[in-house]
Amino acid sequence: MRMQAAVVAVLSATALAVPAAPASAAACADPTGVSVVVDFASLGGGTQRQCAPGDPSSGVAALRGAGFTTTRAAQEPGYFMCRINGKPAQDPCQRTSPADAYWSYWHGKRGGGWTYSTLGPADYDPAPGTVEGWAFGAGKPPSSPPPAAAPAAGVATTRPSATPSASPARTTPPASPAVAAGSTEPVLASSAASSPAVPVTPASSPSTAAASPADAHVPGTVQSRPNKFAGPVAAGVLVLAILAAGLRKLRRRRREDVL
Amino acid sequence: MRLIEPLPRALHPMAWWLWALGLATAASRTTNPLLIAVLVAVVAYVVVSRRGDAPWARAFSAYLVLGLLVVAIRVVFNALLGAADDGHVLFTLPSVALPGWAKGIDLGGPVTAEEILAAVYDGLRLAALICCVGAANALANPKRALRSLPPALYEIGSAVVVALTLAPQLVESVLRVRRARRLRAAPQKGLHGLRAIALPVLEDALSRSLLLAAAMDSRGYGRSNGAPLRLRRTTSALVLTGLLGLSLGLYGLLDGTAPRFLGGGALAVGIALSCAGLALGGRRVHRSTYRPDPWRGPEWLVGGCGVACALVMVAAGGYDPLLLHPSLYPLLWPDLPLLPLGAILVGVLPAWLAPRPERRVATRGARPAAVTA
Repeated sequence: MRMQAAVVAVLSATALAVPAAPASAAACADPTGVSVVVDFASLGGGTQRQCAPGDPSSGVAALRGAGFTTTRAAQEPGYFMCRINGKPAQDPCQRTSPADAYWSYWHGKRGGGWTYSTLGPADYDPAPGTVEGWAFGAGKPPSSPPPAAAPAAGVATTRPSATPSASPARTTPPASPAVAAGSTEPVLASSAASSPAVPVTPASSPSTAAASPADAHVPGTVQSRPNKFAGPVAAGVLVLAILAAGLRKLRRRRREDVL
Repeated sequence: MRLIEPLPRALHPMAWWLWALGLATAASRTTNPLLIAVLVAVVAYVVVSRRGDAPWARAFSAYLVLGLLVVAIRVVFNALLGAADDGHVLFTLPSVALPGWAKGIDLGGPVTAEEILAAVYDGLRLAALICCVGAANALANPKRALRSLPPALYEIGSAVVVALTLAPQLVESVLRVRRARRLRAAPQKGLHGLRAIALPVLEDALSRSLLLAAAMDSRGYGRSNGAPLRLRRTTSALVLTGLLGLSLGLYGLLDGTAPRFLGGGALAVGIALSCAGLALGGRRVHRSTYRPDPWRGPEWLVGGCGVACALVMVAAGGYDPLLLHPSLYPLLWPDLPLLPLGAILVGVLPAWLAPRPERRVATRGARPAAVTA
């Protein structure tokens, strides 16, 4: 049901976003919509800010509405965010990630601070106009605070909206000033102070956002195998054969006992 | 008819335990229900073909029931408490709204196929472990297994005796009490039947375990042999810390997500400490053996089957996690990987490798007809 809601949210996002494509880039321009800040930290890719227009039903829907792809841990019954935009790729995404390398989930108000979420991203319903934060690492908040209430104008509009995928901005590594400075502290300062310096990844175009409403699938052999029923059928036959042999043995034993 | 039929004899109990623990290790490395189902079938087949007539040999079905119970409990709790995010909704339970501070818990609500399957997969793995232990209990003679314990453990002799023999004795007592009640046409089902059976069974099993411990004590087990108090304390401390390290190390080794140093390091320290303690304690214990349990070819083969199965499964853990742990999100049919399947099928070989057990029916017709009827 939530998945449908997410699909609806994304579809409505595309409907809203197509006439004014720049709306989804950077923090939300209007007071509604949920801003999403994703700090890739050690994964490379810096901090990305996007806008999920409308009122997403959950934290996951907000992420997807803002154009991020999500992958959950394949065996966790609760929604565990394992990868955002396919990162970290080295995590097998079977169970929960290690405690020092996971996506921590934060809430914030425009211009406020971060508070650690007490709920999972599928259970939390972000209020319109608030900010959602994701930071990779050992549970530290995103390195830049929630964007201020007044949106930085002109960042997004410079982007050619007709060909979003060809935008060169995607390639700029954001961590370079930090590396040059040689410490992690300046990252916080620089990225927080000058929002144009924060590389705004071109919002994945609305069409790609709509194309991936659900989780990104784990690539593997299982996806592409020819016959998905072969395994269960073979196992069933094998188990039945063993059990039949066992029953025969049991019956013979009983017969011996009676004699 | 085979040319050389080995004489019926009981296999060394430790060989059966080695085999069962090897299979249990293999089961703990996968949640693939297909592999688990094959493993349980394999274990059941070996039990059916090689168990003796002893009372504890009937314990296996009790462990099977316990395993099923584990799966059922997990499914019920996951359906009640699980948080359904997205997935295929099977049905919707009436949900209870909890206050804000307990919002992380979902009571009731939609129940998805993924949640139920997650419970079944995990429950099946635990059930398989229980079945493996049950198989060892059914196949190995607990009293003779006790004899193969290292002498230093006799320091805590009675406790070990009671701990090792209580479960098999329980099953034996249940069967005896139920048979007695059946002969008297007393009710066996329902609450009354349960109460009437449970009490005598508990008392019977415990008192017989204590009796066994007392009998072993009177034959010199657990004697301190007049050793100085300090030496005795040193021995106990060494053995107990060693066993603690051993359990920690095994836990770290078997749990794939535990840090590496916990597995290797703690295991090495535990083994060293236990060996020192056992050597120290064993120096003073002298005993003679009447009817020794031989460790011959079949013992090596049966134990080797278990160890090989465990080793292959542990090694296979890295090669494709999706095959050993089928994906639930997205929901996919589990596959049957060939290498782990082969490893598990090695576990069925003891059904032929082990010698036939000694059976009472060797002397046919010796039992009175009234008992079998």
